[in-house]
Amino acid sequence: MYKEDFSSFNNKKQLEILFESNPFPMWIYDLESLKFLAVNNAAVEKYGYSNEKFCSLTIKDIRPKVDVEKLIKNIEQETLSYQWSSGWKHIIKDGSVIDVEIISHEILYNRIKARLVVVNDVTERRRIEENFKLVIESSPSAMVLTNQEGTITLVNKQIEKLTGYSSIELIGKPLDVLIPSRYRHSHVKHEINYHKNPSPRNISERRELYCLHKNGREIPVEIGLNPVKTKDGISVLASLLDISERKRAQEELVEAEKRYRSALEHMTEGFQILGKDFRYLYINKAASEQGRKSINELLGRTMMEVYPGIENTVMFSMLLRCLEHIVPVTMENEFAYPNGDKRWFHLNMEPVPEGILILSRDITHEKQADEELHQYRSNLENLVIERTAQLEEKTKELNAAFELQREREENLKLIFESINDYAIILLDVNGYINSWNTGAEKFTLYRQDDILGKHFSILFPIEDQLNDLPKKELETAIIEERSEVEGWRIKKDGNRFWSLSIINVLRDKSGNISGFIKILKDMTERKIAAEKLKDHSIKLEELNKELESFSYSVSHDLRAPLRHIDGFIQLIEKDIGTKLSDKNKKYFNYITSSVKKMGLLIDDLLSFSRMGRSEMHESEINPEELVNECIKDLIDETKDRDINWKINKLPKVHGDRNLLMQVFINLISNAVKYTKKKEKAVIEIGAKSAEGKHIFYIKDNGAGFDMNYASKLFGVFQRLHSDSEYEGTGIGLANVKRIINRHGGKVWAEGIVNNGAVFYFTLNKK
Amino acid sequence: MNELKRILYAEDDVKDIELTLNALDEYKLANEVIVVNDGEEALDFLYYKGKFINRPVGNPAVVLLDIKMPKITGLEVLKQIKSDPNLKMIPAVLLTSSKEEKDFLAGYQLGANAFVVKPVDFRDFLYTVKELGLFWAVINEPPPNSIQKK
Repeated sequence: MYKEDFSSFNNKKQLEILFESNPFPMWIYDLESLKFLAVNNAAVEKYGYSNEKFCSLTIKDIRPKVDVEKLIKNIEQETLSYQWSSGWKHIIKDGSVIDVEIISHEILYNRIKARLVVVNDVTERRRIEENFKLVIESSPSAMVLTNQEGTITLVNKQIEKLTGYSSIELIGKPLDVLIPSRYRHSHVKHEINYHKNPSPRNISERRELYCLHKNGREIPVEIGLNPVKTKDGISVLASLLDISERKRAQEELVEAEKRYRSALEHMTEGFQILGKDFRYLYINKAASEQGRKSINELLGRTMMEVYPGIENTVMFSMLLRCLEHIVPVTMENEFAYPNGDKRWFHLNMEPVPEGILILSRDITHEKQADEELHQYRSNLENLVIERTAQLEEKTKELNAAFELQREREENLKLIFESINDYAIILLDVNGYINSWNTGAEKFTLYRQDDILGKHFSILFPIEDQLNDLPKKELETAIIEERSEVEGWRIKKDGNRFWSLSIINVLRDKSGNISGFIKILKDMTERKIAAEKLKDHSIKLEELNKELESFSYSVSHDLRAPLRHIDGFIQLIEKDIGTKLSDKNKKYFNYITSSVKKMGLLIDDLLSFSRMGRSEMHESEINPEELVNECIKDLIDETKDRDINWKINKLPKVHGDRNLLMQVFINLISNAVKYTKKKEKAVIEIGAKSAEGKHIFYIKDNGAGFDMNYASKLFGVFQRLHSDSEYEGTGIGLANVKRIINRHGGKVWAEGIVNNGAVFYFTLNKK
Repeated sequence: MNELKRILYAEDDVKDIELTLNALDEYKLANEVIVVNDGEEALDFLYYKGKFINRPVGNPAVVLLDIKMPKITGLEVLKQIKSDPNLKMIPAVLLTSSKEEKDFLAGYQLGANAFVVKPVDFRDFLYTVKELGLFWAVINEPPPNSIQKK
């Protein structure tokens, strides 16, 4: 820029025209006095002052007072450019203020240092700009205006909210500050493309992008673009809509859908959607399990294909109703599986656009529980009624008992005092005697006055006292609430008595031990008797052992000589038999038969002794079996006989099979033996029941016996018939008695000579 | 004493021995019998001791043992036989006058091969002893190391 000297301008006239008819107001002012030196027509018109008036004013006069200082500063600085300097305000004649841009040049005017000023009234433009800004400012969208270079030229308050930057921080910066770095590169391309082919794009076209917040966070936004023509060329106005809320809502929706689906899959209730043709459209795991079909077997098939015949069920008619009338239906349905299983389901059928939605819940257990509950309730009601009645009864009883108790308590004291046969002694916690009744006086000879307050160990022999027996007695009672001991105790006169004593702990209401009650009985006599009995039973046992070894030696030692006698007699007979006289032969036979008889006696005696000492092996026995076995065993004796057997039903019993077998063998073989002289024998076996016992009987119509000798029947070696009449050793019935006694039963017999006998025995019912 | 005999018969009662040998003679088995009079002698025989120190080698085909014998009883002899690996295969038969439960049980528990009650009746006795000899000395195949039939 350089100073021009207008006066040296060649074509001065042309210059004047350029000045005078210029559409922009122009003037020249004196740099010293600031007075207007010349103004053009456009200035006169714009400012309202006449040419003469203008030339009487200084440039300060057309400024608002506040701007004057700034103006002076500006003049001092040499600001020369061909650029419009904006931001100035001028006052025109009517007092209104206009916005102007100016260009000024220093010149020499009539040799005076002056300045040529060109003014552009931008009031209207400024107003439009202001309106534009206002519009942008008031937009609910965040807006940013960028010029062709990509520099931000305008932003609104919403942008500040969105990005966290203030407008001052943004204006003049490249748009890149608002773009996440990963998009910057591609954004440049978009920008270039957009500038090549600018057209408005609506937000609804949904260009979803991200905006970089001051704090580095990326904010999802939708961006609409508008080309804006400005004096600097085409700018782009971008409106940004924060869609993070929407995005989050969307994501949440997706998440929620996932959750619902998963919930549907995993819920324990069956969930299925059927199409209008009853085709399975959706089915969750529970529903497939309830139907006992895999999801693959169901999906795409109709209900009728999967469960043939289902169209005839009530449930199906409910489905139809739901579908046709579009109403929800709820029902409880017992579903029968093809294999015959049945289960109860609660079904909710809802009409949905696709068809029917069915919610199903297995309520089999609830049903059962209901049933049980119902049962239980009615039982409970009965029980309550019953119990109430019982309670009333009990209350009555208790009242009566309470009355009785009171009477008893009164009596008890009297009784306690007067009891003679028992010593009743009350001890305190430490064993000192508190109370002493007449029974105690009688046993111990101590009088109440002698002994009250003494320790109860005074009653113990000195050796027991040394062994701390009295203390131990109390300790046992404390541990077990009660102790029972027998032992020798000492009377006042030093004599001993055998006592059975029971100690009970006495407790107060709160459960603490308050003392002991000791009850003693003098058992000396019984003790002596028991010792005698013990001696006796020891002796008896010894005797028994002797008897055992005796019977053993009988069997062993007596049989051997017999065998020898028989053996050698036979050997002699073999050697000299032909030389013997008939008489001698008869004697030989006698010897032989005697030996045999003695052998039988020994065997029977032995078995009898064994019967008494062999162990019992008890089990359940069916006597009918035993009887049948016996009869079978007796076939040799009965095969040539006419015997009418009457065998009645016999109850099962508990006992030793072998021993009871012996009983039946003996009694039945006796019956057979003693009827052998009857042409028609009748033997009846039966049982009846009396006094909690089974009574078995064996009845025959044989030889019978004289009831006078009935008591001898069951004795060892006792016989009522001669051997030549009815052979036998007299041991059989003794055995029967012994066996039945060992089973806790009794035996007896009834008979009439030559008119039969009945043998009875009893066995306990189980 | 040094003859080879297949039946070892231990019995203290001479009368029983007489009767038994009489019975065995019916089958000509009497010569096959070596009689010893108590348990000690029975063991001497089996172990080549005392008077049997020079007897021919071999185990008897059967041992008949009376239970009640002086010094060492039949049951004790049985116990010894059945606990010796060289002897335990010899069939051992217990003889007794009566069937006493505890002897019977003890005999079988010790491994007796048979238990025979000597009948009082001589005819039965004859029969029993004959059958016994017949079975063990004639019918039964004796274990290895036994003295063989002539």
